[in-house]
Amino acid sequence: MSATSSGAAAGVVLGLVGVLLAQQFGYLDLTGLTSAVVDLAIGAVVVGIVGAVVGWALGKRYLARPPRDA
Amino acid sequence: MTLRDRGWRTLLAVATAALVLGVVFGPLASAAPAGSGLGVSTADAAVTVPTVTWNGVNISDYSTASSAVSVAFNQAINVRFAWDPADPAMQGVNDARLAMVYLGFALSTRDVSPTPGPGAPSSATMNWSVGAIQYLVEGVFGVTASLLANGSTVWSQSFYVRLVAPFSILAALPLILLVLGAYELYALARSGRHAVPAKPVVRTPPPEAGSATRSPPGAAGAPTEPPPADEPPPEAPGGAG
Repeated sequence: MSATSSGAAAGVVLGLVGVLLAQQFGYLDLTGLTSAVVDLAIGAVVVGIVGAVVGWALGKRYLARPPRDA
Repeated sequence: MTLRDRGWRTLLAVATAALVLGVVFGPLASAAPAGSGLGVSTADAAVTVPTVTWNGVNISDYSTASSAVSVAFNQAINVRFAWDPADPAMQGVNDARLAMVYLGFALSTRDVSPTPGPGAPSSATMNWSVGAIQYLVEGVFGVTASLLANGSTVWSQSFYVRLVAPFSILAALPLILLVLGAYELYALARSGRHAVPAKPVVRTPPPEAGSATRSPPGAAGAPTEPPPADEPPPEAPGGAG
């Protein structure tokens, strides 16, 4: 699993968790199934993309580090 | 067609469109307040519509998520359904129901039978409480109040409640979600360690003249050649020095 896909996976879960938490704290209404699915999908996709970008950037920085001396 | 004629024709078209829209949507717009004005009883019994009160307040006041009524932990709520028994649509009402909806599914349902009395029933009272759900979830939920006659819904109205957990956090689902979110944040911060360096490009030497085919390295039957010596050949004994 690459850094990008790892970040995207974490971002998707974070998006779903964020939407559900927003409902739990009263910022979002998830009464209807259709609107709830739309909200969850939007959260998962948006935060998943952000997570992929973050994972890619972190992976690039990780590879650019100088190797440790033995 | 002059510019002035075109302007008049545009104005006429806009006026016609506005008239058509007014004719079509005017009655709907004017009918909407009458239909949504549930619980507003007038002196005329013929226009009386069912009323549901939540601790004495009409639930039509809580018709949006932003105006949801707060329900404290372990709070008891008195819900009263009232309807006009003379209304033909309300004939045979034998069940009043309150259903809390989450993600399109009924999270909790509570039924009560109409209050017995002389003549046709016209009200039902329910002492409602959130129950064990308050240990699990919090937040804004839609609630549907409905009147049923022999199992079929004859009237319903939706409103919103806001469940409040102790210390605004002590419910199972938000705690689990917070722990899961923290773990995923940690996983995102560590995702860089999954980076795989790009594979180096392996350049194969050009095929030697005369060899028609090239066999892959390590293939069965391929002659093993000694690796090319990087070091210069040893000098002959008795040479320089």
